[in-house]
Amino acid sequence: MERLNMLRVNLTEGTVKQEPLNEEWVKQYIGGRGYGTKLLYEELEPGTDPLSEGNKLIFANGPLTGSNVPTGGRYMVVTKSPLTGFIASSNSGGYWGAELARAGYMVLVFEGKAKKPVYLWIKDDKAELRDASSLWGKDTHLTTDALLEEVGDPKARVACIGPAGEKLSKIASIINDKHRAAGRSGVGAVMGSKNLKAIVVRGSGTFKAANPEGLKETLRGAMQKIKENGVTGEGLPTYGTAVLVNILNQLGSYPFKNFQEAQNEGAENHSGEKLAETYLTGRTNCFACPIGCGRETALDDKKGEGPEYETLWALGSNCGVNDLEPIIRANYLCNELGLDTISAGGTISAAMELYEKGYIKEEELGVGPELRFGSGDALVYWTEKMGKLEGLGEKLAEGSYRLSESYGHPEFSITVKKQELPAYDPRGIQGIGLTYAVSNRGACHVRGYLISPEVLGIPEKLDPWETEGKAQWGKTFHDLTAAIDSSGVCLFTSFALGADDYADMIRNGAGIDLNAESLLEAGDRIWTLERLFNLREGLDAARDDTLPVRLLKEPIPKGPAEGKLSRIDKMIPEYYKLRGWDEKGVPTPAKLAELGIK
Amino acid sequence: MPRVSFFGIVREIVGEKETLISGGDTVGSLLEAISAKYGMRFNEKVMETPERKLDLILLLNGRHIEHIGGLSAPVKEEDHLAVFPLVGGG
Ligand code: SF4
Repeated sequence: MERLNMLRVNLTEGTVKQEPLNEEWVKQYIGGRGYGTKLLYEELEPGTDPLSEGNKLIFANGPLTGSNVPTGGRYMVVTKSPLTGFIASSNSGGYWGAELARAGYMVLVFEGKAKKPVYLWIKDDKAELRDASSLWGKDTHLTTDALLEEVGDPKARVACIGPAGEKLSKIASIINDKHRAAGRSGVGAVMGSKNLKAIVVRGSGTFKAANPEGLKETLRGAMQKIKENGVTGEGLPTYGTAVLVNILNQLGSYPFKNFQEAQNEGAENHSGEKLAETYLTGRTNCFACPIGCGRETALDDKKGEGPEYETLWALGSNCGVNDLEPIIRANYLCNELGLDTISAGGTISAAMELYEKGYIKEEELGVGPELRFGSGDALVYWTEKMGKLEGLGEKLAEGSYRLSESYGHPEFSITVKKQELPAYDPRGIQGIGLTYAVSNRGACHVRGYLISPEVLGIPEKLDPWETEGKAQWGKTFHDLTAAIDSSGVCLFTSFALGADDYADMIRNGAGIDLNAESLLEAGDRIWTLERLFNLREGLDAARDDTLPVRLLKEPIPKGPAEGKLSRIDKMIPEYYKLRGWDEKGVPTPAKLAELGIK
Repeated sequence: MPRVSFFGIVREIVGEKETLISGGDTVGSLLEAISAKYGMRFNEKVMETPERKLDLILLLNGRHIEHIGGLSAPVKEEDHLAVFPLVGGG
């Protein structure tokens, strides 16, 4: 079938060239996360400094982005991460990716560095770099409004960075449609290092399915499953993700104060139920999404999206803050300044511990409030300073690892591969700890959401305290997720859909010949290629596939999971074996041959 | 008396956050006692909606009941049951 194209933008030269996609790569790696990884693996010079001209910044849609497949609006940003030094692939929804597909492109690759700030304006087959000097320094909301006005088309879509990305914060995000983030691993800093402020896109094309009749049939079944599933049909639409706060807290696996504890007596005050009673004003959807997990909130004269579960935890419980107001303020600031909320929260919580234990000195705070757990004032003030890289904020903007290390105490940084952990304590939920430890992009819950079986009981209930069998569950989830992330569909559909549904959608929608088995194999191939990328960049399994020492040595002090530690050592060797990797976590030649990786 | 907390949509249906309920020495019989207390509201909407039974996540003292004997898990006087609708997220 006819494929969309790729645009190669050389910012040093100021050139924009259209190129066809590599059909062989599409077959093997699908698109999105997979295609982006393949492209980066083939083109990036090993050892490249992530913030140098040599790095490449890739925006990759899946072949279903922009289609009528439910939630088909996702894109992935792939690059070498300045936070981890390994692969970054950050996913986002909203409407920007679908608009890019309408304009005729699946992939954008940016190379080099512009001499002065620029933005890329794509209107169907016309694409040009334009001056963005007047926007430099502006937050993501002002930038979006100014650009929509400048291109004279309110229906155009904007992805941009804020001051954090411009000033190269290693936890900077890329924000599209004002409220949606390709959040993790510092992708915003790579964009800033290239002097690329924004990408504005408007397209007029429509999606053409490879097999329209087949797709119609597949979608009928998929929509039915999404509607009937308890999570996608009811839980997520009604409560969003925030309703998880109370569940995780009741389980005693809801990290509190930088993972010093795992249950928070005040959590109810920032729960989804509380949010619904107070600041919630409505629901939002991404492109073509029948689920609509997004929450719209209002505070003073501001309106925004979120906070999501992860954000409530990171900026709330992890910093000991239970009041919704400062959490929402800090959430809005992160979106406006372009910071990843998970890493922002993980960094402030580490700073609070460093301060309370006497390593960060009072004089370093300037006129700012004391960095004490539970202080909403500190949360809001230091989030702003971090996003603007002012005063101590400059150190915070480096992320918790570099911050803690600069005080000689890297153990206060709760990170894997220098990326901050998400909102589930791996001491009380063993399988998710495996995902954190082996995730190619550093600590991450959405590389394989084992919370689904371990906490929610989907597709079946697994005991979160057990390690047995988790390696196999992990591998299956990791492979399936890699394939979903490459298709352009939202991972949340996987509460209701299985590998065969995705294979049917990709085959009928995009003409890539897949069944459930070959889809999982594609996921395995993608995961393995990410691994090869990381190994080439110096990954050492013993040092990098592990958890922070606190989670391995300091038992949960109280609550239902009291006394628990993470036992990743019980799962990782088996996981490597299942992957066809040797005991050092290196894919064997036989495995590479099986996957067709040369 | 065992303490029972309600969350999400279940909280809206029963109209309160928490209650003390006697009359159950297993999770199953405690659920029956809850049904008796909240009557049709709870029975119809939580146990059996016209379309389907609401999927619940039941935690007894922070443990999912699945791992401690399911509905026949024993309940003691000082125990705490948390009743959640099935939800999800990431
Ligand atoms: S489920 Fe939520 S995040 Fe996923 S596409 Fe829908 S609204 Fe967006």
